[in-house]
Amino acid sequence: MSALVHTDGREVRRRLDTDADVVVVGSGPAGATVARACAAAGLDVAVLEEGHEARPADFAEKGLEAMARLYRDLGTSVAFGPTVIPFLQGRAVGGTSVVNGAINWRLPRDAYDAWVAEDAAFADAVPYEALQAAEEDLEARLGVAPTDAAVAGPKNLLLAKGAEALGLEHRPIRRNVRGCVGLGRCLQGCPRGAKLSVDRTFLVDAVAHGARVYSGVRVERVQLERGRAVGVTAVAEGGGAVVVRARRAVVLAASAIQTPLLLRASGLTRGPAGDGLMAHPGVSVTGLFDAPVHNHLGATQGHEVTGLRHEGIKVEALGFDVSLVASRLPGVGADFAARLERLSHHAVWGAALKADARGTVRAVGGRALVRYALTPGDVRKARRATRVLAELFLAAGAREAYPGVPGMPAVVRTHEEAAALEVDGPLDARAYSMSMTHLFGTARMGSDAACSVVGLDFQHREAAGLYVADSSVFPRNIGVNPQVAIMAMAALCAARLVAGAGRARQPGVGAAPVGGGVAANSSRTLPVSVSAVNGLASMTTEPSAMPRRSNSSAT
Amino acid sequence: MTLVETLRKAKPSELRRRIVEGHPVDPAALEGWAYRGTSLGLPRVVERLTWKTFQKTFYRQPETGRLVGWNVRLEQDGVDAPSRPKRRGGVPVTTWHYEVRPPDGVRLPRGFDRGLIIDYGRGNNPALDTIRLSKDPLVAVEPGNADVLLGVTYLALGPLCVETPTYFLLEREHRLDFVPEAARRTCRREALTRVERRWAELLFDAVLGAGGTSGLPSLSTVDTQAFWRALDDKPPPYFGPGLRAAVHALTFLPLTMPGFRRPFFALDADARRACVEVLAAGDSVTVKQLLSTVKLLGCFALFEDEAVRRRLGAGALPS
Repeated sequence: MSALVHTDGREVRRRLDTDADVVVVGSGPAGATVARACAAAGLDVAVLEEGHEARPADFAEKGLEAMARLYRDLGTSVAFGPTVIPFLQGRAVGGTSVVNGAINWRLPRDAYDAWVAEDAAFADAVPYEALQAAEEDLEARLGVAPTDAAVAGPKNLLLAKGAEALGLEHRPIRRNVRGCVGLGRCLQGCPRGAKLSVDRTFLVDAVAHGARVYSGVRVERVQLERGRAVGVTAVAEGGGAVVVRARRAVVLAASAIQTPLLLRASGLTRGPAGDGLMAHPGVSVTGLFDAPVHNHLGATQGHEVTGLRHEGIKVEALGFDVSLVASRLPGVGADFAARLERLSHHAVWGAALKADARGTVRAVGGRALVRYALTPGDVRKARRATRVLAELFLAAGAREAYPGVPGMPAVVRTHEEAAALEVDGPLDARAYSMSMTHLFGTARMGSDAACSVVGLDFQHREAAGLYVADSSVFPRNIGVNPQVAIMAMAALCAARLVAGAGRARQPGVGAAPVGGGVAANSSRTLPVSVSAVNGLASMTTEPSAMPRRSNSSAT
Repeated sequence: MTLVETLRKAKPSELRRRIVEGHPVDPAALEGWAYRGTSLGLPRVVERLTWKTFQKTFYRQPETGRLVGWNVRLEQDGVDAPSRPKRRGGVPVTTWHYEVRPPDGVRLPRGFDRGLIIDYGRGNNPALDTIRLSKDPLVAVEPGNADVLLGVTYLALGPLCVETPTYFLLEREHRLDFVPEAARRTCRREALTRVERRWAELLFDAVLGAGGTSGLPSLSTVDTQAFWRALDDKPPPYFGPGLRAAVHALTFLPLTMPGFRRPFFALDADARRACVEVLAAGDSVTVKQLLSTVKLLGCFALFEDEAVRRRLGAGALPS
C-alpha cells in the first residue's frame, strides 16, 4: 500500500461508507492546498481523486503513453467552437501539477487590480497582501526558483538570446523543482521526481497530519440536506459506491471543467455555474537552427518573454517528447521526411494568449461539453503572437521559422517576412492550431448574486458548507501561469473554512474574524488576515510520520 | 403474493415505475453468480417467437477487474421449471456478452440511473451485431436485496435513447460453473476497425513520407500495437467518431479529385504521396486540419519505434 494513498478505488468493489470533517474533491494544486491547511489545523480531511497515484519510476517517456496514463481523455479534451481547441488536464493524484511545466507566477498586481475593478468588494475580502503572503509561504515549500542556466538547454538559452536581440523583457522561468538535471520530461511526469508537484509536497504534508487520500474515486454528486452540503456520493473504479459524509464542509477543487459539472449534477444550477469559461489559448511556431537544439531536452519550460504581457501575450520555450516536436515540422510526404532528418535542429516556442473569449461548460450524456469561441480580438492576438514568435526565432539565429498557419507562408526567413505575417495573416480562427491551458471562471466568486456562483467567502450561494477552491472562482483571466495564484486562493479558502469550523485552530488562524464558515452563509464578506494565511500556509511537516485515521467501513 | 409473483403479473407502467424508483445494486453481490431471467411485459406471441426464460451471469475478469457477463439460452420448459441450458458441443449456448458498469457517464433515459447498467456495447459481441446498441439498467427491487433484480432494455442510438417494453426479472440461481472463452478475453473497444486502421496507416505513411526511399520505415513495418492500444483503452469523448470521420474523409476524398478518382487505399504508393501533396497545397482549412491531425497521430505511431526514436535524437542525453 502506498504511503500517500489511503484507499485505491480500483480495489473498492463493495459500498464504502466513511466520513470526515472536510471532504475535498480533487487533489490538484487547489485541493492539495486546502487538504494540507485543513489537516494541519486539526481537521479530519478526506481527499477524493479520480486519477491514480503516479510514481516517478512509472512515468513513460513516449508522449502518447504518458498522455494515456496521466492526462484526462488522453490529452484530447476539446472545446468546440468555430474551431476545435484541445485543452490539457492532468488526471492523477496531484492533478495537473504532475504534468505541468512547473511554472510559477505570483498573481500580478495588474491582474488583481482587474479583479477589483470588476468587483470592488474583492479589495477587502481578498486582500492582495494576504495573497502575497500565502504565495510566499507556498513557494517556499515548493522550492520555487529561477531556472538554472546549467540545466536550461539550448532551446531556453536561444529564446533568451532572441528576446535580448529584440529588446523584449525576458527571464528564466521560476519553477518548482529540486535536483532538476534537464531531462525535459515535466509534461510526461519527471522520472527523477525532481518536480515538486503537490503529490510530493502538499499532499504528503496533509497525510502526515492525518488526511486520507482516496484515488480512483469519481465523485458524482454533492449531497445536500436542507440547503447544506453534507457529503458526496462517488463511484470507485472497482465498481463500489463510495459515500463520504462531511461533518463540516465539502470543498470542490476539481478544475474549472469538472467543478461546475459537479455543481450542476448536484442540482445547483442557479447562477452562472458553467458559464464564463476563460482560458489561455496558445499558438506555437517552430524554428530551424544550424546547430542541434534537442528541443526535448533541457528544462521543459525554462525561459519566458514577459515584455508583451501588457498586450496579453506571454512567450515560453516549450519542451515535449520528440514525437510531438516532429508533428510541428512543416510539409507532407518527402518534404516532411527530409525535414525530419534534422529534427534535433528544431525548437518549438509558444505564446499563451490572455483571451477575451467566454465559453460554457455543460454535461451532455454524462460528459463535459465545452463551448468556446475566440473573439476577433483574440484571433488578432494569435496572429500577432505568431509574428512575434517568428521574429524571436530569427533574432536568435534560426535559419527558418515555420508558423504552421494556413494562409501564412509555410517558411519565414527574414524579419520583413515575419512582420508581414501580422499584416497578411488570416483572421479566421480556424486557421490557427491552438491548444488551451489555464481554465478559469466557471463558478465565479463575487459580491453580486446575479453574476457569481460563490460568495466572497468561497461558499456556494445556495449551499452552506460547500466551498469552491479552484480556478473556477477567478473572476477574470489573469494572463500568466496560474498554479501559485490558484494555491494562494485555495489557502485563503482554507483559512475561511477553518475559521468557520470554529475548532482545532492553529495559532494565527484565530486572527481571522470569526463568523464565516457554514454559519455565515448570509454574510459573504469575511476578510482573512495575512497572519491567518501565514499560519496555515507555513505548516510544513516532515513526511516521516503519517498517522492514519481509520474511520472508514467497507460493508 | 410474493415479490416475484407480483413482478411477473405487473403491467409495463408498473415495471417502469419500479425501475425509476429502484435501488442500487452492489456489484460485488453479483460476482460469480448466475441469475435466472424471465421476460416480463412482452406480448405472449413475442415470447413464443423468442424465449420466456434465460440466464444472465456475472463474472469478474481477474486481469482487468471488469465485471462482465453473458446470456445463456435455456430450454423453454416453463417459468417454474428448473433451468436447463441449451447445449452445443457439450457446453452451454451463450449469447450477448456485456460489461456491467455504474451509470456514470452513460447516456440514459431520465430516471434510469438508480442501479447498474448492463452494457452490450462493451461486450465481446460482433462489430455489426445490433445488440451492441442495447443497454439494460438493472435495479434492486428492495433496498439491499440483490437476490431479486429488475431490468429493462433501451437502445442507445447516437444521441437518442429509445425505451423498449422489454422488462425482465432476475432471480439469483447458482454459482457460476462455466465461463466461455469470449468472456475470459479482454474486451477491446477499438477506436477503428482493422480495415480502418489499415486505411489510417496508409495515410500516415503518405503524410510522413514514410516507406520508400525516405529512410523512415513504413507504418506497416512498425509495431504500432501500443499506439492503437492507447487509443482503444482510453477512448476520449468525441475522439473515436472524430478520428473515424477524419480517416474516412481523407480516404474517400480522392474520389472527387481529378487525376486520382479512387479511394486512397486503392492508389499506389506514389499516387498516395502525390495525393496528400495536392491536398496540402489546397485552400481548404478543414482539409489542412485533417492532415495536421493525421500527421500528429502518425508521428505518435512512428515514434513508437525505438530505432526511429534513437536515429532522430530521442536517445540524446542532456548536456
